[in-house]
Amino acid sequence: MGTPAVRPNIRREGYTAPAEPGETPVRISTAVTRKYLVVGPHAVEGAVKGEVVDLTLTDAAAAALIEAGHVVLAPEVNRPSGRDKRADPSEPTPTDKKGK
Amino acid sequence: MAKLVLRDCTIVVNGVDFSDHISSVTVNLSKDEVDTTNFGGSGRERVAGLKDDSFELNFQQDFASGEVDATLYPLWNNETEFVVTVKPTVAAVSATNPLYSATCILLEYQPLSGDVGSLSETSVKFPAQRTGITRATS
Repeated sequence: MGTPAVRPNIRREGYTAPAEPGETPVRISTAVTRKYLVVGPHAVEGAVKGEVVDLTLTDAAAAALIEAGHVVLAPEVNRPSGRDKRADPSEPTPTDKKGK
Repeated sequence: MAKLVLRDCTIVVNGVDFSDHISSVTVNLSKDEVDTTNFGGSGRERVAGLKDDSFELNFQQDFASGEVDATLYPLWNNETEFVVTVKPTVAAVSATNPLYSATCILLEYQPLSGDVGSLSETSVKFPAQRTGITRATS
């Protein structure tokens, strides 16, 4: 009965975070493919220390790998820009302006 | 097909191969039992309910950077979902070397447990989320 249970603390693919009244819900965790440099002692998807590997991970899973010391974002390849930091760059933001 | 002695199971947690720090593995495939017993017979009747699969792994604890604790603690602390895969041997996935995989979560973690003089090990259960554990042969 009542409203369905919500698990706001679980970061899963495609999950849309609940928004405060008046805010737009934001997709917080979509799997994205990035290049990572393996720096830890264990193979990551077959790549050993010093090798670069493409991983398709949610932001949370990638953060866990980085925090654990397995990988770092590959330098020179994943040079972020302001727009690319969003989960889905195609999604407009309130500050986006057409024609720019 | 020959009987199998486990020697080189491949176990990957969040993309990281931890086969050299795991001493036992169990792939649990389970479905809830839903009782549908009725007046149509003299015994119980059941149907399968929701899947409730999990992996159970026994890690040999290691607190070094990039090792067991450094990997498991963030997964537990940040409530992160991650993929776990298991296959019987290091060989390529095939009909005789199936790959079991699932998106999992870590809800309980005991970083330290053991007796004096014993190897520090931690048994971890990874419950599978939503679709449960899938089996691939190619």
